[in-house]
Amino acid sequence: MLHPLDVDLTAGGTYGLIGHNGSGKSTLLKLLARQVRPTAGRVRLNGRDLEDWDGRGFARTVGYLPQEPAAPPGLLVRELVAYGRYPWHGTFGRFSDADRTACAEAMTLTHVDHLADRTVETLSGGERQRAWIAMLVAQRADCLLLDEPTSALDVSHQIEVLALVRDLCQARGLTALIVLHDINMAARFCDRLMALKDGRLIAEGDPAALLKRDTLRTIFDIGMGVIPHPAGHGIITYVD
Amino acid sequence: MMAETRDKTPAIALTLFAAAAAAAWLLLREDLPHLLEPAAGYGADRMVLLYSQLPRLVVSLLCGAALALSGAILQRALRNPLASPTTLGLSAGASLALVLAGLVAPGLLVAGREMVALAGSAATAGVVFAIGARRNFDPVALVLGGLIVSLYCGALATLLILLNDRYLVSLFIWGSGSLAQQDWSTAVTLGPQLAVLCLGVALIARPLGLLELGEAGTRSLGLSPSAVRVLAVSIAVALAAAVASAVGVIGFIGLAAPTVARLAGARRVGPQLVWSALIGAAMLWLTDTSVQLLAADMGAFIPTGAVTALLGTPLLLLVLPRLKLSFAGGMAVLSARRWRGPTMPAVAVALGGLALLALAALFIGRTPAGAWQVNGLEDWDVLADWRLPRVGAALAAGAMLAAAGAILQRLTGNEMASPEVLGISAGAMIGMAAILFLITDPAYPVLMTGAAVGTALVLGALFILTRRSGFLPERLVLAGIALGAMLDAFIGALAATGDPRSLVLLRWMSGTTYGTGTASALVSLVLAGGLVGLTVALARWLDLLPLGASGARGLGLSVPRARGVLLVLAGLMTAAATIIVGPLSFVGLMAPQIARAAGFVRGGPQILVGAAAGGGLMLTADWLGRTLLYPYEMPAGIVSALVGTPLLLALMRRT
Repeated sequence: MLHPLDVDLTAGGTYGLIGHNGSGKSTLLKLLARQVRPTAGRVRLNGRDLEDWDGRGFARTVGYLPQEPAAPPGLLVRELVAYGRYPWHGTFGRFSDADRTACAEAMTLTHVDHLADRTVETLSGGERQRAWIAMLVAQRADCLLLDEPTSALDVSHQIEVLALVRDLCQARGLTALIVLHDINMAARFCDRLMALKDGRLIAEGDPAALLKRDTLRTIFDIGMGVIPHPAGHGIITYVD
Repeated sequence: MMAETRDKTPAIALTLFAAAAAAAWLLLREDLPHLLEPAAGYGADRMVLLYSQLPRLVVSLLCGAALALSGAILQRALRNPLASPTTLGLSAGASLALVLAGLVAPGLLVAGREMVALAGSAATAGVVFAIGARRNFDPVALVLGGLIVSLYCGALATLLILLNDRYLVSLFIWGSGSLAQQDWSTAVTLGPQLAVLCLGVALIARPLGLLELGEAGTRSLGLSPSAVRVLAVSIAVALAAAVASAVGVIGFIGLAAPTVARLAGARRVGPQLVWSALIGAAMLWLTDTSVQLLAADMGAFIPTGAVTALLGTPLLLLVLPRLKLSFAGGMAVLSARRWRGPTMPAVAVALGGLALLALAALFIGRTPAGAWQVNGLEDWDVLADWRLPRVGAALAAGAMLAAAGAILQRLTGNEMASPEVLGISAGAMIGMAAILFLITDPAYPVLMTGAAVGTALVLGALFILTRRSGFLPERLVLAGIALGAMLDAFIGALAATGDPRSLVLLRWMSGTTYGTGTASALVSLVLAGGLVGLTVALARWLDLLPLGASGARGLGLSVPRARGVLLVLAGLMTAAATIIVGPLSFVGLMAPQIARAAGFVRGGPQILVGAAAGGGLMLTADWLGRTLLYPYEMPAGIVSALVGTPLLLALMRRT
């Protein structure tokens, strides 16, 4: 699936992972999230091989949001957020005041306070993603791995979720790696982009530097151009 | 299946027929020359050949073809690869109707056996379709309804047989599908019936093909899909009922033959129906001849229907991974309303209610003369000897089944999962049966070991068979159906041999607490307390696992270990409970759902409230069984199945 590639992620900021379908974006993310084991090569976190981390210790450092997260019916938002504390209190540990504080803080930061007593299935798409992100925040992980968090959302909800992730990264000094399909959204909300093609990392850099006509053609095999955003928010890509 | 796959049905049918013919030659080679002899004089061998062997051969061909045809039509009409007379409960319905008629109005059996069977099949079909219609005939929902109705009919029939064993023993033999013939009468009645029905099949074959286009597509071609469906299903029900009234329940031919035909490449309706019928005929002929060959060696009487179920199970399990099932979304039986109040007091109320119920079951009873009576504490010595062990055992069994059911439902993300539905109870029962045949009068620990080994085998098989599909609900359910049918076949075959141990087995099956001693009740209670308590302690795993493997792993849970530990717990609790109340009670399915319906969604409260509900259900069932028909007794397992199943079906119809 993935060709040998060497990626170095430094702490802080939002990374966008872009590429065509089947380019290995999700696979790379799952490798980093320890959801799948590498058949060859190594993945290290803070200099330590992922294999050497214990499950809960890893989850205290890295939070992962799968592409279509499933909440069992009847689950309340505050209960979902509280699940994020499992890496801290474990199977038999008490749900302490520290846990309670972390959950309250996470819900405030992600603006789901008013949804706390709603069941997850009654939420709109954007609210639901915010609830899941609240769980990751309660997890107090330094690094968030999000697999297409906006794929099922309309434009306004996409912006709502991505802005939330960006603000979280700025406010709490987190690192987020987001798989995105929409290049313009990626350009708008990510500090750095990484482009994959056929399992190879073919480009890396900040959006303005990476998104050039020839690079885009290499990534997607179609002619695409780039113009500056009319209101001065970076750049916009378009199809010829 | 690839569209280009070469049609291998003729080859398969030919092979089956050749094998059957070879087996028949082995069986009949010494008798066949009698056919050429002049009819003069009395020759016993010749008579046997002419009036037993040959009619049996013809009947096996007819029944095999009819069942396969019925299955093929059902699968087409309902667009459901799992439909068959067995899985939709048609055969079980016919069987129950005949048992009832045999008890209430034996005259009916002489006058219109077929009509009685038809009424039974039609009634079960009605119930199953009423459930299915609410869920758009979703394949799995339909088969689940069929399975539950089937088990219900089975439980009722078992109860009737238990209460009237002198009159109904022969029904056992019939019920397990014996093809033995004494003359040509069965063949002569069955033949024309099937001929008429086949004519009907020929008429609806083409409209049946159009159903493939789906509801809207069919209608746009000017055909009413529901009319075609009703007609087709009616014919299929009639075919199944005709066979059931002639020779009894013959499982799995109706599922296996069309499945083989389809997998072999018969795609269009015409060939599918024809080849299914031919393959079915050859299958049953081959099975029946092989059974006779084997039985001759062992000198035993084995009903063929029991053997088809035994053979059908592995076949179904083999085919399972190749079946492409579109699974129509969530199986949620109950909308998840939430209990919004404080959890702990609510759980305490549930447990308190259970305690009150236990006291009532302990102190309210009937005098030897039959009058109702509330005992006082002065009778404690007697109560402690006679009632306390039964109340304790029933409570423990119900609580354990409930916790096991809750674990399985959460683990598979399927609200219809339970020890009974997944065949785990059946596994425990098979383990106990094996012990019964190895050791005379086994002690509790030995029996428990047997039951635990049985559940372990079933859990292992389920795990291996469904792991690759990620524990898809329909795979699990099908595997469970197959295992349950195997148990039925086993018990049926045993009962038909007249082995005295079959009565012990039947008593275990029905699940009576009668004769439970203080010691074993105490062991059950301790086991229940420990295992349910351990499950509650692991509630966080039960909360995280429904997030899906990746979600749970993302939070640092070791998913394989959590699954393994919880499965072992569920298996142990099922084994311990099955020893007491048998495999039929359905408490493991109902109790967790009652807890959910009451709004307890999280793992811990669901287990506790579910265990209280399960214990209460079983306690009540046991008490009803002890007092209702006093001085007769009805087994707790069966009573809870009889009371609980309609409740469950009603719940399934809601949503």
